[in-house]
This record gives sequence, C-alpha cells and structure tokens, in this order.
Amino acid sequence: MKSSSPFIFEATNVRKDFGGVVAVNVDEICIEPGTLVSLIGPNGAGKTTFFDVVTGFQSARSGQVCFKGEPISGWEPYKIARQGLVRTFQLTRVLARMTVIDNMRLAADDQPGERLYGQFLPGTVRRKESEITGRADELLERFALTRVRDEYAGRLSGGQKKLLELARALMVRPKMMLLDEPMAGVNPALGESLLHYVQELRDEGMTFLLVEHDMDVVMRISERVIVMAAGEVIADGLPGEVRTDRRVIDAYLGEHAAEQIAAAEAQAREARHE
Amino acid sequence: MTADATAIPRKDALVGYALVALAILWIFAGNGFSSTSFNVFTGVMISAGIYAIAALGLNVHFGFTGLLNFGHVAFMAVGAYTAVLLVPHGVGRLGVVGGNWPLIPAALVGMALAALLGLLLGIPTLRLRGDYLAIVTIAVGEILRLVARAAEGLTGGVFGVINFSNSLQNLRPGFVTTIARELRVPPAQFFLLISIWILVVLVWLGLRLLLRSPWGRVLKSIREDEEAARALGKNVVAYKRQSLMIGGAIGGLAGVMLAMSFGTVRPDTFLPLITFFVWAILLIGGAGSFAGPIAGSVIFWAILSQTDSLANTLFSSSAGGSAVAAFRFVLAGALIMAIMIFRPQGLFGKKEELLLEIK
Amino acid sequence: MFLDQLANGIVLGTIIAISAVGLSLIFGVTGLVNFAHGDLLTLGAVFALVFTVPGDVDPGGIGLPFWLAVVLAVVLGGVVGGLLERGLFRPLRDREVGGIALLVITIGLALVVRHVILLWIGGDGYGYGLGLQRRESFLGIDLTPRDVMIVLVSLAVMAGLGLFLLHSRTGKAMRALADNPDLAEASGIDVNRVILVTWIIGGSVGALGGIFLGMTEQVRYNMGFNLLLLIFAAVILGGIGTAFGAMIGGLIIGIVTQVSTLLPVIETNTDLKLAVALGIMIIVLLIRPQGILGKRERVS
Repeated sequence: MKSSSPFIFEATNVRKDFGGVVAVNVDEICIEPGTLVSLIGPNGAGKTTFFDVVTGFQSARSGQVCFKGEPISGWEPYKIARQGLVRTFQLTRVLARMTVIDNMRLAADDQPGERLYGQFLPGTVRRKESEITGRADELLERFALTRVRDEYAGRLSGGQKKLLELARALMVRPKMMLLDEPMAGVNPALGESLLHYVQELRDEGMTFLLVEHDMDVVMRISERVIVMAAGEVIADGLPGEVRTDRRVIDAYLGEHAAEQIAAAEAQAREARHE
Repeated sequence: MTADATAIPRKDALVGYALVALAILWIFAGNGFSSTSFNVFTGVMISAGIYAIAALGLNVHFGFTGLLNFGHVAFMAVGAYTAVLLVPHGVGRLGVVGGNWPLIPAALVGMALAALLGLLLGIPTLRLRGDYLAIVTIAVGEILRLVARAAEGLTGGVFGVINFSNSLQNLRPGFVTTIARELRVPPAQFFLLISIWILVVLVWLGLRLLLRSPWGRVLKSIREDEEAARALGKNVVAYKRQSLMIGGAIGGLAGVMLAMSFGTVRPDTFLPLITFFVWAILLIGGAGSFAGPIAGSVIFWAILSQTDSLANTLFSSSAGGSAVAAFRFVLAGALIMAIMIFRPQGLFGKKEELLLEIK
Repeated sequence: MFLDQLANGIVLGTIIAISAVGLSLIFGVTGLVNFAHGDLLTLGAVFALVFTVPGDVDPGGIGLPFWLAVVLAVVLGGVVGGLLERGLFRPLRDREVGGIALLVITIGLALVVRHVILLWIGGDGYGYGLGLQRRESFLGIDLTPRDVMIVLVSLAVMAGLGLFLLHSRTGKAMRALADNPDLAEASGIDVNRVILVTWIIGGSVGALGGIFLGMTEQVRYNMGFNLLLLIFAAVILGGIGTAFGAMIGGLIIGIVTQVSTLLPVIETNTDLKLAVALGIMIIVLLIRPQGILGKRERVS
C-alpha cells in the first residue's frame, strides 16, 4: 500500500464517540513531512481525543489513519511509536521514580538488552548501552538538562519535565511528533527555549503536529493551522487566513473566558502534580 | 547502573537484618540452645528457604511488575507434580513405580511448565484491569488442585506421588553426610537445607542481574506508568507476560523443593492458603526489594515455628493440629493486614516506590 | 436426571446470585473487589447456626426458632458489613491507602475471618436441624418445599433490591457512584453515607446467601470461600459492578455448573464443576470482558 502520497500523515473519516456523544468527527487531516502544523480549538473540541485515537491509545469507531503511506489504524500504541509516530501527553508522564538519564535510556528503541535473549549477550548490551547513553547525553545537553542528569525525574520543575518528555520522545527516533500542549505550565523563558528546539528539529526535517493554547505562539511558529470545534475540523490553512476566518472567531469568542479558566486549572493541576 | 532502583534507607536495612538475626536467635533460644535446637533450626530454615524462593517469584510479579497474582500455589503445584512424575517415583493407591529422569532436568521441565501456565494465565487477563488477573489466578490455584485430585491415573489422586526423595539425596556428596553427623542432624535434612539455600542464592543473584538490566528497566517503567511505556514503544503486554512466566518458573522451582521436603505430593499439599503465606512473606520483606523476600521468609517462619507452641498452650494440646493450623492462618492474615495498613513497604521496600493503584 | 440437576442448578443459581449482589454492589460503589466476601457469607451462616442450635448440640447455641435465628443473623451480617466500613475501610480511604493495598487487606481479612470461624466451630460441617423434606413437583420440576422457599425469598429480596436501586434516593446515588464517581461526588452526594449503606446491604444480603447455602449443604468454615469462585464467575459473566448483572450471571453459572455434573468426568468428581465455572469465566474474559451488562470502560 506504499503510495507516492505527498503526506507523511493522513487521517480520514476518523470518528469517535463516548456513549453517543460525538468526540471526534474528522473528515481529513493530512500533514506534509518536515512541517510544523498546529491543532487548535476550544476546550472539548476533541484535540486530545484525536491524538489518543491516531496513536492507538483509544480505539476509534471508524476511520483510516496512514503514516508514511502505511495504514496504522487499529495498531497497538507501542507499534505506532516504533513506526516513528510518537506523542507526548498534556500532563507530563515522566517516570518520576527513575532518574532523568534512565528515563532517556528507557526510550531508546534498539537496546537488545530489553529482550530476554539479550541477557545472553552481555557484551553487545553493554556496548549498546554506552552508545545509548551517549545519544541521551547529547540530547540532555541540547535541552539544557545535563545538570539534572542523575536526579529523580520527579524532582524536576514542570518546565524541565516538559523538556525531558520532548527529549525522551526523541530517543525513540521519531519521524513525526504529536505534542499535546508542550507549553502548558512552563515559565515563559523555558517555553521560548522549548519552542526554539521544536523549530530547530523541524528545520532538521522533523514533522510536528502541535496542540497549543497560546495563540501568539501558534501564529508565530506554525506553517499551517487546523482548527477543531465540537469534534470537527472547521478551518485549515495558513495562520493569517485562519485568524480572520469567521467560524473560527465565532467558535473562539464564546469560549474565550472558559479557555482562560481551563488554562488556570491546568496550571494548578500541574503544580499539584509536583 | 540504576543505583536508585535498589538503594534503601540504610537504617531500615539495618533494622531488617537485625530482625532476621533476632528471629534466628529466637529459634535457638526457644529450644534452650539444646542439641535439638539445631534440628529445629534446620527444619525452620528448610521451610524458610522454600518459601523465600516462592516469594522471589511472586516478587517478580507483584513487586517489580505490579501483577496481582493470588494463585502462586498453582505454579508451585505444576512444578512439583511435573518434576516428581519424571524422576523415579511411586504413584497412586498401588504405588505403581515409574519415571527415570535425573532430578535436575526434571526440575527444569517442571519450571518450564510452570512458565507455560503463566503464559496461559496471561492470555485472558493481561489486557484487562489488574483485578481480573487476581480473580483468575485465585480460581486457577484452587481448580488445579481439584483437577489433580480427579486425574488419578496421572497424579495418583488423593493418594499422591511418593518415594521420589532419593532423586535429590542421590546427589548428596560424602562430605555433607560427614558434616551432618558432626552436627547431629539427619544427613538427608541437612543436604535438603543446603540445596535449598544454594537455590535461594542462585535465584536471588539471577534476578538481581535480570532486574537491573535494560529488561528490568522496562518492567520498572511499566510498574510506574504503563501509558508512558506504551508511548515510548514498549510492548507492555509482552513484558507482563514474560514477568508472569519468569516468576511462575521460580514458583515452580519452589514447588519442586517443597515436594522434596515433604517426601510426598498430594493435591492437598497445594492448598490455596500457601499462596497467602507467600504473600505475607513478600509483604513483610517488602515488595520490590531484592533482600526482602528472603529476610521476610526467615522472620515469618521463625514466628510461625514459635507460635505453634504458643497456640498449643493457648488452645491446650488437646485441641490438636487443626487449631494450631487455624491459628497460623489467623496470624498470617492479621500480619498481611497490619503490614498493608501500617508499613506497606515492609522491611526492605521503599515507600516512594510503592504501587498504589490497580492498573 | 437432567431435570433434577436443573432443579439443583436453579437453587444454586439463586444462592450464587443473591450472594454475588453484595460483592458487585461494593465493587461498583467503591471499586474494591472484596476477597473476604465469601467468608462474610460463612459468618452469616454461622451466626444463624449458633442462634438456632440448642446448647447441648454441637457446636453449642441458644436454641432460638430458625426463622428468628435467620432474621438476627441477617441483621448481624449487616452490622458486620457496616462495622468493616466504619472501622476499617473508611479510615483507610481517609488515609488515602491505595487500591492495591485495600485488595490485599481484604485477602488478609478473609484469612482471619475464615480461621477464626474454624477456631470457633471447628472443621466439621453442621446442619440447621431442619429435617429432611420430600421433593414435590413444582411447575414440572422436582424441588423440596424448602428449595422453593429459598428461590422465592431470594427472588423477592433481589426484586426489592432492584426497586431500591432504581427508585430510592440512596439507590440512585449508588448507581450514580458506580457510573461516575467524580461526577457523583461533585453533584453533592454524601459519598461516605452511600458507601456505608452499600456495605450494610452487602453484609446482610450476603449473610442471607450464606444461610441459604448452609440450608442446602452444610455449615462449614470454608463454605463461603468455596462459593467465592462461583460468585466471581457470576459477576464476571454478568458484568462486574452491576447488581443486575450479578443476578443474571449467578443464575446462569448455578444452572450450567450444576447441569455439568451430568458429564462423565464431572459426575464422579463433582468438585470439578468449579472448573466449568472457571472455563466460562475465561471464555467471557476473552470474548466480552465487560460481561453481559457491564460497561467497556471499566475493564481496562
């Protein structure tokens, strides 16, 4: 089924409902390789559920998802991740009781020591482990986490956890990343550097689909913006076009207050998390 | 590599080891340091060693992977029956003789079949919430016993399997006999004690290596956050299955040694209650720690051996064996509850690494 | 033969059903699988036993009329359920003890209760001294009048419980808690009170189930634990956490396991009917883990 499609990621007719309530009803979201696309929309628009469905964490009622030309609908999450489509979570899921460096090592995709038979190849495992550690240290360096390398991940600040999650996801060597609110709960300075890394990675050829609430950020960095409301895509285009789209303004204005409350809540939740 | 994984507060560890030493001292003191006290000690340490192996297996399931296995006795039964039916033995009402395997390969096959049981148990349960594994394992633990009782042609039914102990004692080197005579303990008992504790050390070392490897790192990540592990490309169900199989094989080994210490294997050797002794031991020692299951087992059996005499005085010796046994189980149950309520990390566990919610 | 076993199955099925309701309600409302539930059944049966047996008959009782003994035992069963909630589980919840610890604690509790009963009445089986009855034909099925009474009372109790769940304030709150704990709590339900009521109902209805079991078999210290496996099979088949599912699952499991004793191997080893129940349970888990009436979201 390998096609010469210009898209790295194609989701068509994806439907998901919870007890009769439609959560996601996306006709088409296609993404070209090497681009940074943002997915925005008011709370409850189905953005996170869409992430969950395309990465296999929730099963869809119907629909087709293709990644690198291969249909991945119905696959287990771990297979999708290994295929190179890796996601992060809205609330960080760092492994708090493991060190930062072990979080990184864990994510490596090619350690034979993770297999039972690998226990009989101690030499290979050790060589691989030092290679992995090297790769991990480079990434930690790049994300300014070297200082906390041997700390428990649970001790990091909210922003550092976000950075760690991004760095850790890179250990899987993804072709495309789905980032769910990478800036939520991050202080502005760290947020800026996180954005900087994302753009750098994009320039190196990585594809991003980004759920983000901060409109300034979205409009500044994305090549394309997709807007969802009530489970459906209501606009898809260049940042400038979307900003002036009537339906988008309608969907947002009514929601603006709710949005701010939700953001505050998320921040409080994040704070309690630590 | 993962120094944090096993580092326990030094004070806690010291208290733990001190308690083990006290427990052993208690056994000797309780018997007036007389010539019989070493005999009693041998008996207690045989049980402690067997249950330490069983608890090390359960620790792989519960302590390191978070799997709720309430049917550990099933693994022990499979290991025991397989091994004793392969070595020379007598079976059933008539004591029909059969089997010609040496013990070591027989025990390995027993462990393999116990691992196979783990594989099978995982099929209907591992994709579901943890409680389902608990329910299915507790049911299988009981039903295997009923099947063993019904399959008289194979297992000898209630008459069981007998006369297999020589398969172990044939391996006894001469010097062990000499030392045993010096210590005035039956050589067979003494050799059993030594072989069991050699196995305890081997299993302990093996698990330390395995659980500190990248494989163990994945297991740990699953215990902590399954979803995160999935998102990073780890096949969570496969790892849980492997954990069930490895812990099950170790349980099977414990079953083989239990058979050797009893000298007979009957369906009622493997009451579901054995599982809960193993749980009590694991919780005393601390789930998820390496030394915990072993220390917990020594302490648990020291307590049991001493409470037997307590129970005898409490219920007057006329009450007979059933009252003493009942008292043991009340004690085990109360210990399980008390530890979970007041010190869920046990002696050697780390409070921060405790598993809280059923996943 | 078939009709006989069908009759036995209906009786066993209603006993499983009424015993399973409490387990399922408590799971639904608190999320806790209570492994001590079987031993609470035994406790109810033993209470009734010591109330009704005369002082000079083993294990020694106070010789009340049987019906009064049953009523007192059911009340006492409710008291035990309530005390467990107030004295053990609520304090543990308040201390935020995790779900795994609670599960393991119920295992310890089961061991303690079962063996305290063993110390109390010994290892023998006892009857209620009700005398033998002849089977008569009811609607084409042969049953003793006592069996019929057990079935009818169980059905009446379950119907009453069903009405309570569907129409009373507390019953609705229980179902709301089972459906969505966060939402229910947010909507102002007094969660602690609802849980207490659930435990009291679970304890008293369980005691009744235990007494019925003791009437058809014997009162023995491990009778409840042995039934527990059938109860688990029933709640998984019916859908764990739903009281109605437990009732349907109980009936089916009772009838199927009892009729299975006609099969050649099981005929000679009737204990193996437990294996049939386990088989059903595993098949359900493989093809429809949420059971007949359960919701998909609860299982994984």
